[in-house]
Amino acid sequence: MSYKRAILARGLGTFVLNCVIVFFALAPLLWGFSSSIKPTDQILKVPPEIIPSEVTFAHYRTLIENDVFRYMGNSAIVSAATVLLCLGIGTFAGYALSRFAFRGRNFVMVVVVTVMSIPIAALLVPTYTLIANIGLLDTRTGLVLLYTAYELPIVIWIMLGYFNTIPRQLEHAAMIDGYSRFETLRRVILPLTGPAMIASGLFVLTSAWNDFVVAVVMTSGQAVRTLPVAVYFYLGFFGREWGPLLAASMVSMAPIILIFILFQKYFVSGVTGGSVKG
Amino acid sequence: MTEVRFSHVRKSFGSVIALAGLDLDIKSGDFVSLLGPSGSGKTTTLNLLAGLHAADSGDILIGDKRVNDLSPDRRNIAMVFQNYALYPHMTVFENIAFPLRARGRGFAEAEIQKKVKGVAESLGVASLLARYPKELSGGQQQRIALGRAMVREPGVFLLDEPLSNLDARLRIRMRRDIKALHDRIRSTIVYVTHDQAEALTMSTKIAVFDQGELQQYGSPNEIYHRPLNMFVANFVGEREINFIAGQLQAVEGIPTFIAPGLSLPVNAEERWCSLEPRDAVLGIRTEAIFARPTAGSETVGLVEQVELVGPELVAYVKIGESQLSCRAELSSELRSGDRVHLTFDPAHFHFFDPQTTASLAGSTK
Ligand SMILES: Nc1ncnc2c1ncn2[C@@H]1O[C@H](COP(=O)(O)OP(=O)(O)O)[C@@H](O)[C@H]1O
Ligand SMILES: [Mg+2]
Repeated sequence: MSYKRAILARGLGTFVLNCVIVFFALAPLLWGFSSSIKPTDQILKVPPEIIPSEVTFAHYRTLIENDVFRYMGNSAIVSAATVLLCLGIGTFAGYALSRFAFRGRNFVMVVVVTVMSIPIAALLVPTYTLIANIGLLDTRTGLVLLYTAYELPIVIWIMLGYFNTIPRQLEHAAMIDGYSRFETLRRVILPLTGPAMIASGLFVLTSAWNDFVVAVVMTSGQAVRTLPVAVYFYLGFFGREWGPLLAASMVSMAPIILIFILFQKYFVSGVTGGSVKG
Repeated sequence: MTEVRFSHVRKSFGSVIALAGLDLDIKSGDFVSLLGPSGSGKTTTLNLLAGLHAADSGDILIGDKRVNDLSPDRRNIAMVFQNYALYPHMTVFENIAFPLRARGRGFAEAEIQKKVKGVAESLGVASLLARYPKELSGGQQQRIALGRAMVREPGVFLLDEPLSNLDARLRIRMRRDIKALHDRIRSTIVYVTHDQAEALTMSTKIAVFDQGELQQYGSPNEIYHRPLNMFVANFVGEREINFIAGQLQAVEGIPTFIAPGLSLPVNAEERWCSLEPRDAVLGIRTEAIFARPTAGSETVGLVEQVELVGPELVAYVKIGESQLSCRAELSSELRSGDRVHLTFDPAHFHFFDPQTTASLAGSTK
């Protein structure tokens, strides 16, 4: 009896703790969201209303009038291209590193790890010069190339680790069954790497979508401005107008949150994919 | 009609010599077991034949054609892997159909359906076709792996320890199923195992490997009854063979094996028996020594351990410096500490050269 009670008490304790964590994590978000749909004069009211008594989308309309769709579009294009490029190259590179013993393999692995551990700030100046020299300043292509360069090593590493957990016998079986190396990769190995691709894809997507530093250095015009940079400029433009600013934050967060919720299941299994044989 | 030939095939991995010059002739329709302890080069041999590894030197032939430079998909072989290697993202049906769907095979969908169903029925897995591999038991996965290999009707089947992940009972049943399969389809089968019982029960020929070298190649009967060296004699057989170091010499004109506590007349018909005294090792299996509590021979020993083995007993008897395993009747109720008389069956003596470990019988052939 007391044993049961102990279990109950512990369950309750865990629940309360989780509630506290959830509150701290979500409260700013919820408050931000509720403020972004309040009329301006309600936002700073004391005590604040969590559920606004009067709902307005005026702030979002202001954003739309200030080109938010273009910036979102830029961010989406740049992020999507980066994800595709990283996954495309990273998958093949990871596969090659996992399966082939070629000269220079260890060197490539060391380079991959090294590049992963260089902070982006240290690369800003040299890459700026490089991008300027090849005429890609102020272009989306330039951003995509830079993001890919920064994120590719981690994608290679995740994919390499995942390929290493897939038994070689599967490929051998497929090759004996009559498939070429490439067909084997396409029909047997790649379908099994879904979780790793989703995990690394989400990782790249978040960094590319959220990047501010690189984008603000490499772009100056409005035409290719990405959302984080736009939010920063809104700060100067709207001054202390919390409504549009919070609306901008919501707009920049929502897509990522949505995508994470969609892929959450795969993301978790991707992260643990290396440890549990499926 | 697919025979397989290895001639002077060598393979090393770095400094490890996995296969040191293999010569092996496999006739069409043979069921050949590659038998040996772990690390002896069996899998390497199979992988070389499958084209998963490239030989360092030598020729590999499948039906008259040198295949060294052919990729696995062009060798007309099928393989069953130790861990089955079923494709986890495909249903059982798709797994079995996979080889038929390969480029250039050009089977019509209706034909694929028919072949897969036929194979599944013959293996008793027709009801599992819609499942995924992870929803199957080990024995069922095993059958699917066999089915995937069978569906293409290849010239040569390669099986790498296909039963080693199954429990003992199932293993014995699958042995018979695989043997029946071979009797039905009559393909050439190369079967890797470290289990001598599997090799003896299923094969038409056994190739015994040790440390990358072929030790002996012959029928199960030859391998069991005429081992060419001490390794083969010891590796084949349910339990370790008894080795007794001693001397062969003539006693009153009869060739006799002498060891501490033992004096055994040898079947004088054996051609190799000279009357010159020489050192020799006698190898004799458990079933050729019989222990009785009653008098019956001059050889007397002390029982140290007794095991119940099915319908009879196995007693470990100390004689001179050696401990010998022998058979005894259940009704003899031997206990450790008992004194027993041992009778030896001279028809099952194997003599070896203590230096080379080669069989003395083989040396004059
Ligand atoms: N891919 C490999 N890399 C390095 N050494 C290997 C490789 N495959 C096999 N070997 C070595 O070759 C020898 C024979 O191995 P193998 O043919 O797998 O033996 P078996 O199948 O008889 O257990 C072993 O010593 C093993 O360590
Ligand atoms: Mg092996």
